[in-house]
Amino acid sequence: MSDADQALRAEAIEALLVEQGLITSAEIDDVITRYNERVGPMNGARVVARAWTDAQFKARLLADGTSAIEEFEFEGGEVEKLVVVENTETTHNVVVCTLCSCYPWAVLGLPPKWYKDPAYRSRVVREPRAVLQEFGLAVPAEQRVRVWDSSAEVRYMVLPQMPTAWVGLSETELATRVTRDSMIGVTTLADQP
Amino acid sequence: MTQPGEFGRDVAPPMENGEVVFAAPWEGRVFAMAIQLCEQGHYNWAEFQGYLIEAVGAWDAEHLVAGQTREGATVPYAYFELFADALGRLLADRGLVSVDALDALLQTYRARPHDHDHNHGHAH
Repeated sequence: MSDADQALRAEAIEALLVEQGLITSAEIDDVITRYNERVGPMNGARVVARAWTDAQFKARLLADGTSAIEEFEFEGGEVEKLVVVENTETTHNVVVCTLCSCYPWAVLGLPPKWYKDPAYRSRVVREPRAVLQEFGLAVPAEQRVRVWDSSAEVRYMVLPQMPTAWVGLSETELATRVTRDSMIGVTTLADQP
Repeated sequence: MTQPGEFGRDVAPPMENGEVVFAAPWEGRVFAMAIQLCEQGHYNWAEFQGYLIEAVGAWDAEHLVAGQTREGATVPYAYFELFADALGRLLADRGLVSVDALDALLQTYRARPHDHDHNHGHAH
């Protein structure tokens, strides 16, 4: 089959599925968009889930993120130096790149639009609590907020706290629940079901 | 359980910068159709993966000599053609798209004049 013929075959399959009411073209568009937003963050989510369920891995991850994630053999490229910062009862971490939009894309995929927004980049450093509030996250006064400025050399990822309600879930199940924004640190998983 | 859109390393789609790379719009559409129909419960992802592994395995057997990588093959490794083959077979086996109907429609499309204002398999 030529490439043109391949395109025709795909078009014919789609037409037949649509005709039978099995699928709509809008659903296909949605999957493409959703997949591209999900595939990157899924890698980070797997790293987080393992850290939650394997204390030794977590120790390795916090000590040297770059080496620790080599165990996963992620597709899609290498990470520069990856530093993973852990949220605790006393510290909340959030990641930004004030200079441009450096982002740990091998674990989080492509950055969301707002991450590149000059307002986010400048304000999260000056008034992190106010910015986090706008994301719906009220950081308690007694919890310190640390802002990590990414660069071409070092990329940061947040290890969010696991909700206590999730204790006992498998690593695989946990990975499906970790959100991209919690790994950037603009949300937590506290309100997740 | 394997989630829709997950792949084993050996049958993973081409990736760049954390995103699947589609060289042409039709590639994205067959990819999305496979995921959507799975999510609607017409098959589970492991079953689709089985068809994909079979298609990729058959290509390897035909085009690779021992120790050769796909990148080193003389015939270009066209991942989404194999992906579309796998999807077509699975849909036929499930009775969702009949081989005859697909062939007939394909013949109609091939007969279209080339300057015809046709749909290239994606929404404009």
